[in-house]
Amino acid sequence: MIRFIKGALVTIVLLLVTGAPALAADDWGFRGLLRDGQRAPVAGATVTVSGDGGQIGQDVTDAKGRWAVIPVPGPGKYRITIKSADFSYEVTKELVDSPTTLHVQNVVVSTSDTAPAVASLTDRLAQRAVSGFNLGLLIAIAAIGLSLVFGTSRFTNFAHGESVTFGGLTGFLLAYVAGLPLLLAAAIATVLGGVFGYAQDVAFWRPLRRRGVSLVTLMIASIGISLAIRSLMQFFFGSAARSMTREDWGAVRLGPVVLPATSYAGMGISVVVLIGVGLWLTHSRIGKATRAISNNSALAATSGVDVDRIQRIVWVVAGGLAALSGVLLGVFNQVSFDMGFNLLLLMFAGVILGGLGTAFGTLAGSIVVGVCTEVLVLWIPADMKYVGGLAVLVIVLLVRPQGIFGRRERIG
Amino acid sequence: MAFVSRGFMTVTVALALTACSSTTGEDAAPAASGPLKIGSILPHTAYAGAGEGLVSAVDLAVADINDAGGVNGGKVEVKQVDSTDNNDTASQAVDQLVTWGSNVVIGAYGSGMSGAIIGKITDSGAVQVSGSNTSSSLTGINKLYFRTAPTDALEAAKLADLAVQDGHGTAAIIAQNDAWGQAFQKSLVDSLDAAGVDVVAQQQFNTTDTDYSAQIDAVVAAKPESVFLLAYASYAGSMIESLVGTHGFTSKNVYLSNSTLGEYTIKPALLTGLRGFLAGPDPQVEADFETRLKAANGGLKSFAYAASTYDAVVVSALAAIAAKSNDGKAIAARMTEVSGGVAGATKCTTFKECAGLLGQGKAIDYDGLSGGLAFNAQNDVTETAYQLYAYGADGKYAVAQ
Repeated sequence: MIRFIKGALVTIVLLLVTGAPALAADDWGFRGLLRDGQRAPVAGATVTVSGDGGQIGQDVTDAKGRWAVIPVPGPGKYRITIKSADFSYEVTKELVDSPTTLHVQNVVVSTSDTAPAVASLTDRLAQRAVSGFNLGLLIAIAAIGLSLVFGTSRFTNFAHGESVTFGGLTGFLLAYVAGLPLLLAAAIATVLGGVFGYAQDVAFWRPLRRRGVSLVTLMIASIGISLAIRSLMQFFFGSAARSMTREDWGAVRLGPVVLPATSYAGMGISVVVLIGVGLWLTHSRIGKATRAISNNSALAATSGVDVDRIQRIVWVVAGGLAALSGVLLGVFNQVSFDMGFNLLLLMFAGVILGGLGTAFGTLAGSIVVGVCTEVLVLWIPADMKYVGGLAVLVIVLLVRPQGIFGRRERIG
Repeated sequence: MAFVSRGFMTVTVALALTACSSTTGEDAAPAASGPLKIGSILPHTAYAGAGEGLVSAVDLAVADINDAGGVNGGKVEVKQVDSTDNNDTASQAVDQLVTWGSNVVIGAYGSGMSGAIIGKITDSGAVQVSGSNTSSSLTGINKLYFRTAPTDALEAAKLADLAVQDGHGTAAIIAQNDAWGQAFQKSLVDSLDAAGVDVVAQQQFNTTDTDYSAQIDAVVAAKPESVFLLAYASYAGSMIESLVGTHGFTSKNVYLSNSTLGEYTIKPALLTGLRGFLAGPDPQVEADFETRLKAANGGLKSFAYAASTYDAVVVSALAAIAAKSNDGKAIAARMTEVSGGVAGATKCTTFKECAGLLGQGKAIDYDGLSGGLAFNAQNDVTETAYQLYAYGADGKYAVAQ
């Protein structure tokens, strides 16, 4: 029965829409819906439409609170009066002869003020904070590579965003096109991202470094390479965004916070990977050498560290981490040819906020940027959300120019 | 050689200019006895082939006109140039049409591009008719500019009407932060206000954002009964995934703009029940028209705005007959009349039938494939047919039953 009514309604709409153009051109009127404060339909109310010359038409609301079209002679101002046992309401509506309005105006009226049904601030805050932490971890994984490359070679790589996109697109090919399980696809994409990082170093950066090209020139070159790779990816992938996987892990509700299960999994993977990178930097020989070069490259070289080899390893790690971040971002949002480029600004913000070239600073900085970006949208328009995160960056730098973890002597 | 051709160009342009000024001087007199020249500036391959149907529709319309005897005693000539998706390239392509001496220019595909080339076309004295521009920013922009596609504002009114019909009194809007999205959002808010629907959340997103969770969370927190997505299909996928999938919002209460109706790679179950309007003829007329187009071009996949583009060609040819002139300005002066903007005219639905009536000296009201047309004082159509589309369980959208 309900289905029939629904079907009939759709038919009515369709008839009004398409039936005969003549109907749209000549028939004017009002129809509508009467509800109470709890959004439930109110039946049995009398609806009267009247013009300057008095009453024109009348109808009584049905069980669904609807009243049928009450025809009026043409465009103009009309008074709609709705009366039931304990409710009386009057509104004036105008029908305009314009290509942008309909000739039959649908009107919703509520018998009492609807209580605002907005979720509480704490609930919204919790949801935004968890989303922000998620974004922060994504930025951190991608940005640590950027920070390590800067630390070991003082090179600001603007093409790092494309390493993130590379991970996203590779993950898409493996998980969506080839149909591999998501986790396996993520692992393979991470390895291939490492290869991509190594290839970049071998193809461009090492030859350029060897020729003694200045850091500014390198930076400009990286902007060019970023553009070239991005255009290439757009050419092959197209400009539409696509889903990373066909798998559906469902959603998880923790108190007021609802996120896809994949986001929690992504956060778990991020934390594990970040701890791993931290341990590698502090405990392994290569990690220690990496930090030594970051501190003082010349001193490290004279102490017997193979700077070139470490730089190569750092490129592999940076590429792999960026690719992993791309896969996680692609699962969280969707895969597109410019996904990494769009993340680049936030990566730089994280790196600079934490202190240039310090891996742990980058982690802290990225999470601060992520959380601020996502939480501040409770008070600023969401389309300006980066303003919040980047304003925090400026304020912190005014107080602490070296960044949160940066050391003072490196400035200047 | 280059010098020669440039000189030649200058001469042609000068000739075109003199021809133009001479016709404007004496409006009533039948202009140059040459055939009616219809140019088109449409994307031949860009936008994933979305313009191919429009190009075929122009060819089909011209063939129909010529089969029925042509216009003002001559066969209609047609020249179709590729607009691509780049405004600069389109502007150069327009030069070709102007040099060729177009009386009518069909196009452009997008509203933004039309805005960019409108000056060039109308300055040459040609009338521009688009079958696919929907931005309300083009309303009344030029006396020589017409369109057979309805504005987004009318679609917004239809969406608001549908939401009330479904019993909703509160709504949230997520809109793309660009000229199209903002104009659409404003129209929709106006329409919802007029219907008494409470807009509880309005969120805009940038196409360069890393994710849209902030917008979705804000909309969900406001607990609306209905959500309107005014986003291109390339960005809306993850929004639908998050809104319907993660947050469990009922899919039939999500309403889509015409640009949001598209192909998605997300799970079909999340799409099932989503609805939106597309301007177009009624299903039977559309099916017949698509069969004819496919017969001419078997590879066609997209038919959106093809019918309204067909109508754009036919209505301008009829206006030329009514004006007894192939001059752009004379055609423009008769467009409203033949489209049904004047009371008491005889209705007709094909070029042959309408041209016959005009030949008998009768006033006509051309009702095309895409609807009744009827241009108003701002050269916008007032009688439009909209179809309600809904996604089925297979993740594809079709006319709602």
